[in-house]
Amino acid sequence: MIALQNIDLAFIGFGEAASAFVRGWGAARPRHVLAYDVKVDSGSDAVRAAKWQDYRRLQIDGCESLAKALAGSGVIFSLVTADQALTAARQAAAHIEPGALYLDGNSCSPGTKQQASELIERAAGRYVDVAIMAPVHPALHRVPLLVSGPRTESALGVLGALNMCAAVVDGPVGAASSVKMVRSILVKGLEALVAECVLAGRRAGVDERVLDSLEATFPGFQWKERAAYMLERIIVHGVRRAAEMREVARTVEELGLPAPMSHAAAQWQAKVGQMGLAAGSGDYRTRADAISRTLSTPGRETEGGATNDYDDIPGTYVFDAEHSRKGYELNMFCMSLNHESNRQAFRADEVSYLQRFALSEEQRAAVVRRDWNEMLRLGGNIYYTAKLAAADGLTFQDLAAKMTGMEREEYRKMMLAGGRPIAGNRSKSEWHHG
Amino acid sequence: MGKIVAGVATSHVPAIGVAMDQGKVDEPYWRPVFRGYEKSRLWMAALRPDVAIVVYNDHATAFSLEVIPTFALGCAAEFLPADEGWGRRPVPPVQGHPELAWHMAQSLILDEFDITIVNKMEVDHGLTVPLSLLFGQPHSWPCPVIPLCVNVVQYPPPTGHRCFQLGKAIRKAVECFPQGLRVVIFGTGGMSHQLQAERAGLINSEFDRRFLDTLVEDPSAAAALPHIEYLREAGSEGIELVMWLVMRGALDGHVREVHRHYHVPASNTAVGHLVLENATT
Repeated sequence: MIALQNIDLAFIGFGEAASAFVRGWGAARPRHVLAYDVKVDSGSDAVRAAKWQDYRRLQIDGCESLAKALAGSGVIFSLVTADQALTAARQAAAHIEPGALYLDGNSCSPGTKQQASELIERAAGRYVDVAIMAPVHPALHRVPLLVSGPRTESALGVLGALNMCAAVVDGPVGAASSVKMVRSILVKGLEALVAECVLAGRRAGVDERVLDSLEATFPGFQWKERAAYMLERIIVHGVRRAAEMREVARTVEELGLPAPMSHAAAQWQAKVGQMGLAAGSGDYRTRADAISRTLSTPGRETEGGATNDYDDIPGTYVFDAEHSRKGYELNMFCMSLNHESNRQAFRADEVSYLQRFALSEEQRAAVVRRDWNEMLRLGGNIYYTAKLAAADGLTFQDLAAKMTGMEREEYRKMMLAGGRPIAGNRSKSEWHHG
Repeated sequence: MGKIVAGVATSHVPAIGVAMDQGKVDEPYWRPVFRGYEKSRLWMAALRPDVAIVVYNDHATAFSLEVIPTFALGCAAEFLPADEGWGRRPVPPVQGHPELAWHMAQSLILDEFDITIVNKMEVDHGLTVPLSLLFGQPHSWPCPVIPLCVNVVQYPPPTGHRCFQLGKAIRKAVECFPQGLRVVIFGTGGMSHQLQAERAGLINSEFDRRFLDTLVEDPSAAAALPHIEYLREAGSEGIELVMWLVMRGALDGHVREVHRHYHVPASNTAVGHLVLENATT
């Protein structure tokens, strides 16, 4: 029996899986838990800081280098992205303690695992092929694992002490991984298929019917809920899953088969994962639409050459740096109307009052004409222009009606009926279609 | 030791203040808005907090484009209601709590939140409307108030995540204040609304209801919403909702929802309201 308090454990890669294991262990954790993650070498201060914060939050010893993490560690978990698994093994081989158990939990093809195994064993480490067979949430450290290779007996001892659920797959290094990889053809492939299906369904306006009809064909699958979940996986973890899917394709090809489906699934995973979208709320429609919009607005150019994600929102001027600089004098004029004496002076003689401010000719004309949208276009901000409206005796609602070109009563009725709906008002492309 | 005893989220639509000031609360248009606050007002009267921290945004009142602080903490002894362009609201002056406010300022800055300290400022509807909604129309406000202004007018406002973290730091500051004050924290603004340009009048009830659920049950997910989601889905002024995350960050992970209210419309805006208590208290 191996006792927990005799285990010194190091993580290579401290992301979702490693954090989940540590959280799952709670107080029943090994004597030392160390970690090295390449994110502490990131060029971004925020990325580095976030990783160190992860370490602090879970009270483990983060290390600046792989060498430090591996010094004295008798058990090593490698949990990096699939495309880095071999690199991690190569680097670990330079620092691993003789006899240390190297648990390679990365989602790689059996061939990749065998290469990693050779590197570790040549450095006198003991290599174990580990396959994580389900999402680590909510199971945490109790997620089902498969292990294979000549070191499974030692592996079962250690994993047992860590209260983890491992089962042996007979066969050489790679046998456990092939179970995971072959399963992934379907799991991650289905995610990509569902994404393509739902996106197409949304654009054609038939997604409800399609999913209802699938529900009739495959009762109990809960297609809408599943679609939301699958889109969330792709949005949040697409980049990582694409790397895994390329390993899946490699597995298929190592078996002498063509793998067009796996390659295509990897492409969808990568494309969506790279968008950097937030998963947002739990509805498949919101998620699908967010992906769809990003697909249809490839880098539109603004004056300065930069693009903003909010430029596509119709009928809206986001008060950003460009607007703020353009509208400074206009807004400061509006602000001056907070004082009753200024309101009186303005009412008495608009033209000479306006001369106190360095407005452009266009801005001055827009103010005199009370062209509210033009003021916004020229850098006005609504909270400032509302002061001018108030000086004219208009309420916020009167002002809103004018900007939308509606009669006051018509606008009021629209608001009473629940307001302007979001459907059809998200993207400029929806307005151009009428 | 101070303690955050509860959190309140509420919209701060100026027209709500006008309706109260002009005695219109029983008109058919306004009754459903105010009915949703009756329970909260009783709850607040029973809670009798020692101090209220009110997180709100200044609407071109105390701050113009001359100075745009991202987070500004009111440390003065008194804050007068401002003339925002349509005359001062007939509400009492707001008494501050300089001891706690200064303590918070020091604690927050050493906690790496570089806030702006404000010793003189007038307060606008963003602060006074929530006070009216929760305290009614007394001759003087029943407790001192610490205003915390968040810039949401100049893009970009602080991220939801930053606001959420600030809430946690505020809690820490309050809990190391030597005096045993019971503090309630308000997050104000929102919910979905757009006041400007051709898309004015936008309301997204689906977004709002989901935001209410997520904020209560899974606040770190709510904190992860990027600005573009608010701008597009909740309207250009709906981004005020990041301020609710300051309040939520100051509470426990698990909270008890004492009360919820949602109504469309008040003027151009969806009114949302939550009363939350820490589940353990």
